[in-house]
Amino acid sequence: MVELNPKFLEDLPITSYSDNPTTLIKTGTWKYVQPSYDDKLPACSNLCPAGNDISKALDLVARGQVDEAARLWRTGNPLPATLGRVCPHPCESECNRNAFGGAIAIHTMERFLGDRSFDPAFLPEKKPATGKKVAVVGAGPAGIAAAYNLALAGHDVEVFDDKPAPGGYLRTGIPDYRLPKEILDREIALVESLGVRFTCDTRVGRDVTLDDLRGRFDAVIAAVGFHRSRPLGVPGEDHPKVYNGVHLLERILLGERPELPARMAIVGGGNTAMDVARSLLRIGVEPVVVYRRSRLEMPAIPAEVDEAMAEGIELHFLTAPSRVVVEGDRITALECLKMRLGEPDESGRRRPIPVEGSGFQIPVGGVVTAIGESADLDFLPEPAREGWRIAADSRFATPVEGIFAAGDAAFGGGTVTAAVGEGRRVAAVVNAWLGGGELPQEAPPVQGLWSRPVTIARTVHVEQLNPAYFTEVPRPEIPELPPEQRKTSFAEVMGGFTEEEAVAEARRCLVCGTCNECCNCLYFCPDVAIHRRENAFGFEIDTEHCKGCGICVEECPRDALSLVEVTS
Amino acid sequence: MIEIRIHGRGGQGAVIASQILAEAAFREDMHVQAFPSFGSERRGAPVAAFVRLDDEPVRIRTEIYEPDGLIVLDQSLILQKLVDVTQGFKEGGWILINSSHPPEEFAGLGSYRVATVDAAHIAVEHHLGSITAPIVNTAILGAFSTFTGLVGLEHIAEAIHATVPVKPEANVAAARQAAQSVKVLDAQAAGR
Amino acid sequence: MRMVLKGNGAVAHGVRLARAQVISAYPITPQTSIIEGLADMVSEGKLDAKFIKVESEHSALAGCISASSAGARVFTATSAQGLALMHELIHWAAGARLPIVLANVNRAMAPGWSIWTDQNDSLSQRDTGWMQVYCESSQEVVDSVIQAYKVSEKVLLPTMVILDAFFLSHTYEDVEVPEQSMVDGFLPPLDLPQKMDLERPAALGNLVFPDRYMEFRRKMDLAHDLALGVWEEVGREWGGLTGRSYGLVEEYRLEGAELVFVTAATAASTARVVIDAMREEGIPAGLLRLRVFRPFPAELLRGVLAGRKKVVVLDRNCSFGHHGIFHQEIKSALYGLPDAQRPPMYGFIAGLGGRDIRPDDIDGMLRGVWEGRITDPVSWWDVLEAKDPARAAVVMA
Repeated sequence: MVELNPKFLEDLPITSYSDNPTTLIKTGTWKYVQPSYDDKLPACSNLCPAGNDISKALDLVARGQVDEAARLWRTGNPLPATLGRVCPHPCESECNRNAFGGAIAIHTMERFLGDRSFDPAFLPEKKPATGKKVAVVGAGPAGIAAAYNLALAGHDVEVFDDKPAPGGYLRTGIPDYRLPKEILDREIALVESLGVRFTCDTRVGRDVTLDDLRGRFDAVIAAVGFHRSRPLGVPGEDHPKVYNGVHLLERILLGERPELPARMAIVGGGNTAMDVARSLLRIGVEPVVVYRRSRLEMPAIPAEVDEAMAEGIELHFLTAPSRVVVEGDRITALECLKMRLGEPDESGRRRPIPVEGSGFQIPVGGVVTAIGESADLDFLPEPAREGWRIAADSRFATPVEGIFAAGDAAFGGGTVTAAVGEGRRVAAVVNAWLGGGELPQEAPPVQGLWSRPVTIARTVHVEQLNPAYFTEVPRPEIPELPPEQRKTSFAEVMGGFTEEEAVAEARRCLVCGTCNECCNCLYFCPDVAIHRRENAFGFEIDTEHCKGCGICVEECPRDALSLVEVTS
Repeated sequence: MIEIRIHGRGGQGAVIASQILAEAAFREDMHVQAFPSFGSERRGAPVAAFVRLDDEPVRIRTEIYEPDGLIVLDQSLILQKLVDVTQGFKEGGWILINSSHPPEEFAGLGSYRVATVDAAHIAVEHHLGSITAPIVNTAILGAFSTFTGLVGLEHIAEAIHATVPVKPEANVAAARQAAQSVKVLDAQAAGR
Repeated sequence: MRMVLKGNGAVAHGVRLARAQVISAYPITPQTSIIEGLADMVSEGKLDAKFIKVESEHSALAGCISASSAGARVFTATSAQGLALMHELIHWAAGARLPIVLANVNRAMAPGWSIWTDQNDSLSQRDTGWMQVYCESSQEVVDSVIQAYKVSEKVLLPTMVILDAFFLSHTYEDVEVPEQSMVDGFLPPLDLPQKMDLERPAALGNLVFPDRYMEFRRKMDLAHDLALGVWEEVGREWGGLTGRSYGLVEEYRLEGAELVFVTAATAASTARVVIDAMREEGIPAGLLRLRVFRPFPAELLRGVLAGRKKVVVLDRNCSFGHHGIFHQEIKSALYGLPDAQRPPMYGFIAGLGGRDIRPDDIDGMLRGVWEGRITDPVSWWDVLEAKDPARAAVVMA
């Protein structure tokens, strides 16, 4: 309390008034626990293989700082415009907004931010040159992500690929109606703007040897994907009208229009099967998809299956081919058996079992196989290979010193998004190794590479939120091309957000686990021990005054505060 | 000082009549006081309003118990003996009644100066209020001007403009017409 | 400019001329036409103020307290039950030393339900620290509202400007409405010495320990002492500008008066007529009108009443179980006089719930006392008498 001379009544204010009242008493020495701002992993980012800092970026968009958000999104991810089109977006499945009106359209938001940032001004600042050189084998998403992050770290990076242009499966395996190629080209151009060189039409092991690379570069990253299709293993498979799905798709996407039968069976349930079926539809072939398990077990992105069905594509579930029926030199049908599902197999999915005497024929003039792919690893020395996989450990290192690996051939992630995340992580490992020589015990988690600290060990699910602060707001409709228009063209099916729509959608984001300056802590603190930071984001706690009551932690709507024990 | 009591029914405009009268007298450079019988009367119930006019500032602040003049907006108050309008009325005072009857019919009220005017009919002609509930307060004030000579008709017209929120012109026209058609009891002819 | 206005209209014009910046009010008969008038003025752009519509009188005063704390000139108006509902914040406004002006239209408290005048509503707020001014005419209402801002803003105490229901609130009379330019010269824009300031955040109304609370209350009391002089000074200044000077009390024909009639508000107006008539008759009667009741001009009253033969006080209020409130206050003010100087006092409780106080009533009280027929210290006037007071006090039918 301010000591006033009690003799002079006129020195007192006329009414109770205090402009510096209680901080004089250091009540903070009393507490056992203390609140602390502690950003945690939101449920969406926890499921993001690419490691996008979703909540922070959406908070920026909600504040209208859209360019800042795009810059943040590109911090370690070179392909947001691409991923915003092809990612299966597992983030949305556990979005905490699901409990309050439907998941945030994170996928569409990524596309919006990616499409906004094709200018090099959106890229992070490049570190000074280190003089170290890294070769990346494979210009697919894993290789691009690794090259991008290593180049940002100041290394000299060259990427080798046997195809005429970089992009890997993004270019040869994903049709234009899902990913227009100019989007991919612009993102690759951004990577090149950092000094990354793409050396195409160059197959390592054929046009250049691995030893040669090991001699010229300080480190080599094997980031190759799957390009070989596995055989069906049924009679008649060697007929010329039985096509390899990956190769057929590649030909179509590169603009070729081969002579094809009017009706074709596509065997498989993955994204390749869906892409083949939908591409065939667009060039006038009637596709029939045959899959041996049920819809639930399909590895394809569910939205892709929905879209295929909406386009009228015929799908036969619990159906496995047993013979390609050939009469004369023509295929007339695919003979199939009905299946039932038994116990789960090693993949965790229920094993299909043939139903006795259920044989039937699907009349088709040709067959496309799309039942899985494998990689071509001949260029690697023996210890770096393990059957059809690259022998890489959790540090992304192979047993051969200086050779690292990422992508499908090493880890079988199976999505572009996983490949981007692995590219980021292998870049971090290689960067550390090039800097100090020692390999880390384990590669850092992808969220550990964020530009802000976050407690990765704690994921914020809906139970951790304070529901009193959230009301239901419905998810917006994402525009898409009507099925009738899709069937006849390779025009992009899904639409994007306008800036206004993006900001409105970002405002729905609960910003789980991330302080967004909602000020609840400040409002609720009964001791006025919380203050805004001057000229900086967020708040600070006057620990000399905070009594550790925990009200701020309780009233934080989004679990961005934690109580920590005070040790004296 | 002249004390006037206005009798009417809730909705007929007795209070506004007292206000217009005060405004008009104010324009004659008189000191004025006008007020309603304080209550919360419902539509149709008998009400009263009061006006005091003086050359000196008005000091007394009570209801008017011994008026010098009466204005009755509704003849049925008298005919059906709903209100004793002449209570406390000063001998020789004047009384102006809205009535279709000639003033002679009210001679029995006492030894007063009596006048009538068919203000209801005039109000209907000028579309003031409705046929079922004509608003007679402005018309009767025109008659008041002619009958008492206390306030000039032009000041009544000005006061209407200052006070009445709707149809001021029609209200003034009604007052002018009533000023011409007031009938004053000829005391001699009535045998007094 | 001369206009025909009713008392409520006079309040609204006073507030307009004082350039109130925030009006926060809730309607209640017979106050309603004050805030209707102000709402019209605000909507027509004749008064540049924020009009806050609220859901209760408590909120109305809360709005005023907030706006005043931020340094705005504010106004509210109410009556009876509405004033009672404000009571908690009535204390707050005074304790916070905010120069709020409130017009209270005196209305009897329910039950029985009443919309007519008496003073028990405002006098129930006697001990809150507000200043109270009881007005006699619409002219005094418009003048007093403007003066109240000047005094309140000088001594930092809120003021209630009080007018009788209907006898003043709804009575049209001719009023001289001052010119804006003259009022602007008299009442400068408000600049509160202590107000909310974004640059200097502070806690207002915070906890005060026993070692300081009394000092704050002592300062309120000192402000009331100061206000006595300020009301007189402001009244003189206003008199210089308008020719209408109002003091703490008004003396009417008191020279040589042995019988003094004391009352407040519109009853004083009627009393003047009676006093004139009695003087004509040769009875040495005079009138003392109470205008400013808080601060209480005890010394002034003592000086005026010392040595009179008889003092009659008319209260349109009652402190049940004791006297009329003006009566008891004046009596206590005279206690210090020597016996020979201290006149005997006769109190009358009359006109409650809007009952008319006619010249005959006042004449009856004065004559009864003067002629020695009435000797009781307190009488209820013009009221049905009880044969069995104990039964009358407690039996329903």
